[in-house]
Amino acid sequence: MNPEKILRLSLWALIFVIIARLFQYQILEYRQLSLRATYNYLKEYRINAPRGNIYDRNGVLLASWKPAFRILVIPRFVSPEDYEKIKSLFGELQVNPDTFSQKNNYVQIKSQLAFDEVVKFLEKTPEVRSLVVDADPVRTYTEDAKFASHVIGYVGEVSKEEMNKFKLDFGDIIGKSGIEKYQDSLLRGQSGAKFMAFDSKGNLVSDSPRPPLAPKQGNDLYLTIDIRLQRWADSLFQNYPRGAAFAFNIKTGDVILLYSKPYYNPSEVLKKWVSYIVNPDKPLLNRCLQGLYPPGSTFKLVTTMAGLYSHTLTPETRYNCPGGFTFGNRTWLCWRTEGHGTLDLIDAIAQSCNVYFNNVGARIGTNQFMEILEKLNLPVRTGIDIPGESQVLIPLKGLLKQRLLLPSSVVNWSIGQGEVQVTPAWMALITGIIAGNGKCAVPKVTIDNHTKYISVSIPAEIFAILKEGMRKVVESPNGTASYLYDPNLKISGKTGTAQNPHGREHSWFTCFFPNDNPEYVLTVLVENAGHGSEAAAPIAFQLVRRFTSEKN
Amino acid sequence: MKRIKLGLVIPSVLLIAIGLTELFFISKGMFVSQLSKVLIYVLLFLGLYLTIRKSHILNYGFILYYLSIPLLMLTLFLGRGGVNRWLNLGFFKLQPSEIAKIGLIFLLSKIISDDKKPLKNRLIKAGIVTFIPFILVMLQPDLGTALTFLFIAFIINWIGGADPSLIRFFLFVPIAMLASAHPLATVIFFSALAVITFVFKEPLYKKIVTLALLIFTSLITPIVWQKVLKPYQRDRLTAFINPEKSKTTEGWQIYQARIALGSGGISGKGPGKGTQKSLAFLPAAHTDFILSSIGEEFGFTGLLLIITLFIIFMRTVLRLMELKEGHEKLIVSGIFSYFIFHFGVNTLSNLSLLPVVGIPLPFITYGGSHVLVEIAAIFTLLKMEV
Repeated sequence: MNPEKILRLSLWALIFVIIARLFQYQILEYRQLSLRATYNYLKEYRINAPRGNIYDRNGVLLASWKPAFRILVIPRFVSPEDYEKIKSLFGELQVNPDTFSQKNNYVQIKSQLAFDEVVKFLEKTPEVRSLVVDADPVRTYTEDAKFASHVIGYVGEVSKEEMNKFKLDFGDIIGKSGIEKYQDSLLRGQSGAKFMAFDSKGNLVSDSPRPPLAPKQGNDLYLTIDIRLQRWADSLFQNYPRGAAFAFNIKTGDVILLYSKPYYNPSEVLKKWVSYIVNPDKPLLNRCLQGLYPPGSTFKLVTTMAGLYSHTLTPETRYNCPGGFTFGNRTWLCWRTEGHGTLDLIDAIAQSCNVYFNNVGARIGTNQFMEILEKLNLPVRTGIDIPGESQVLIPLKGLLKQRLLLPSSVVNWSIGQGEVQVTPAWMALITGIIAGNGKCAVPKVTIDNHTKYISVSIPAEIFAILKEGMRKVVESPNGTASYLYDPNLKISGKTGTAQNPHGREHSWFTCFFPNDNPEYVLTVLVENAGHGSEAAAPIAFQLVRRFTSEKN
Repeated sequence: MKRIKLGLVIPSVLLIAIGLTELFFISKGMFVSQLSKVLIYVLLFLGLYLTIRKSHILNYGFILYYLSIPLLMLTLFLGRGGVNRWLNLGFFKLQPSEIAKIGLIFLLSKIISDDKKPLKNRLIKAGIVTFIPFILVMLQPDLGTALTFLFIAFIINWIGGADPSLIRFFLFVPIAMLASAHPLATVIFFSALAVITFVFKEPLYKKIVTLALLIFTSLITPIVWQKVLKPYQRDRLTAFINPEKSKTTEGWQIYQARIALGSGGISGKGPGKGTQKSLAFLPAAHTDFILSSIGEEFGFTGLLLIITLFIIFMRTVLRLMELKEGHEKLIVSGIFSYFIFHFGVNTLSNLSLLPVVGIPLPFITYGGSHVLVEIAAIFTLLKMEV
């Protein structure tokens, strides 16, 4: 072979290799590589969707949204010096340079900024590349929303845990409490996308290389509460700094009132966070669901249940009340120190005689009382669709494990003192179970058709006796709430006066209405307001009056 | 022969035109600068074509070599750190290594074709004159250009009828270097070499010297690789093997070149519409990676045109080579080696098949010196043809 031939062959071999490789790149890998070329310069930014509106049961708007702004950076182009500049502008950031170096298209530095805040930011003109100011919808609440703040809850920036759990980005907004949290995925909506083109150095080339994808607002949500009733409850509580009122339909579970005082303003929670946290009245506490109080005399309903269920008590059982009850070497005084005389069960409920129920409890005994409660299988929380509900403390073995139990413990329990601590919502649920003859809907604050029920298998006669007693509380001339009797209201209830270490007694009233075919239960608690008949019961009557008149 | 003249001039003019077109879409300033240089060179060599005779080139061409050597030394002295490839002449930045390439072609062909002297002396002299610019350019440092000298020397020696064992040695050196990367490959290579050495009828001393040199090469390569080269230099040379995984700038460049080429597809994105190039993702779009830039905007079709023009040009050079003998044939073969080396290395490095070593794409890459040499080469070929 002469050299020219070898050179010619080498030339063709070279050409063959080149063309084969070009074929691979430009024809076989065309789609994949052109996609990469596009994503080299095209960056996708999420457009946050506005959260869905929240309305009350009558369609009154409580939560909505308005346009605001956010600030993004493109991490690939942020140098350590830029990071320092950003830090000097916004203070210490939760985002650290490690996050910046990730392959994210952008990192959200600040969100939900008002227009003047953005202007202030732009005036400072940071010479930081790849900072983008963008529209961002912000949650707003109506003036009246604060009366239902514990139902609605509030929103805030995601925490680290939430970012991981829900696959969200730094600076994203998420429901932090109430229905905003429980129904977050529903309210959140579907984010859209916006496109921007950057060159390899991070300079913005075009801010609309392709049309944006519009975001989809979150679903609207209708609450079961009636905001007018919430506002009315607030006016009734004006003389009391702390308390709660909880009412729901025992057939549908619709919560028509969930009022907790003090409340907070959902739009200002984040701004006033510290003052809310240090406030000794704990405005962020949902007293209906999270407030644990000794139930006082309202718990006598449970004591009665236990006595009748265990046949240690019958409606005819009579005890004498000399004004005090002695067990061992200790004496418990009745609230009526001159004594009630001899009473039967119905009268004892109506007049709320402590000595009578001390006797009922002592007759049962501490351990047996716990065993009976175990059999009654009462729920320890309502299961409402708001996160963070507390579990109550009632004499169950599982709940009182660590406590020192004495034969005299039951004497305290029988009148709702000692270890017993319940929430107003739980008290309402027990009232509902009595009113519904053992069956009661689980309370819920969103309107839907999925009603769950709690059933307690206790003989119906027991509920009939309890209802009779509760009716007498209002209708008997000696009843503790008899002075509030109004033939139009048809309320049956039970007062409670709970001694507590924080001052005056807590005032309780729990009731159902109407008497004959009970539909609603209502529990009112007023902290440190004295006797149940003094504070809680009048509020409850006013609320029922307002509610029935508005319903008709 | 009119055909040969046309086969040389038409493809090279079109390739220059394609290069200028792409430069026009990269930067108007570069386009104007390159166009004016090309026009000056063409006018200059048209003038030379009419005044200079073939014998002048054959007898005095080698002077370019002796001009370029001191200039190469000057670049080493003038440069302060970094890469010292250019001499600034005010209006023009001259790359003396480019002049040295054509100078070496003229000098080597003169030395090898001088058959009054014994072959051994000629080969030694050829070795020395190749070695001097090789070392000077390695010191710049510019590995790509240094290898160009070796390649040119290899082709001219081979065509000039050098000792086959020398040729074999030249061929086996790169293989020995590559094989030393893995012990098994080394064993296989030397086993094969032993068989080949046994088959060829050669004096024993030649066999021993060749074998000893190859063993030396395969021993020294890993040492140079590990001890002499810095990590970033090693990365540069290996980045092309797996550019996506490479963390170095080189790896990124090669990967972006692939994206540029691939996203061009069959017909390209259109002149001036290459996003890789215009948004600066493709580095050195006007120099090392101009082929990828053209591929992005003019696609597979555009590159096939370049390849076709190149084939026509190279086949014409080969044709001329076949027609020539002696000194002239060696000059033509040297020019052939220049073009195939430049075209091959530049193209293959754009295609992630070779490391990027700064070899320009003939006629097309932005820059004056290599185009000057290429036009000079065509002028020489045209003179040889007469």
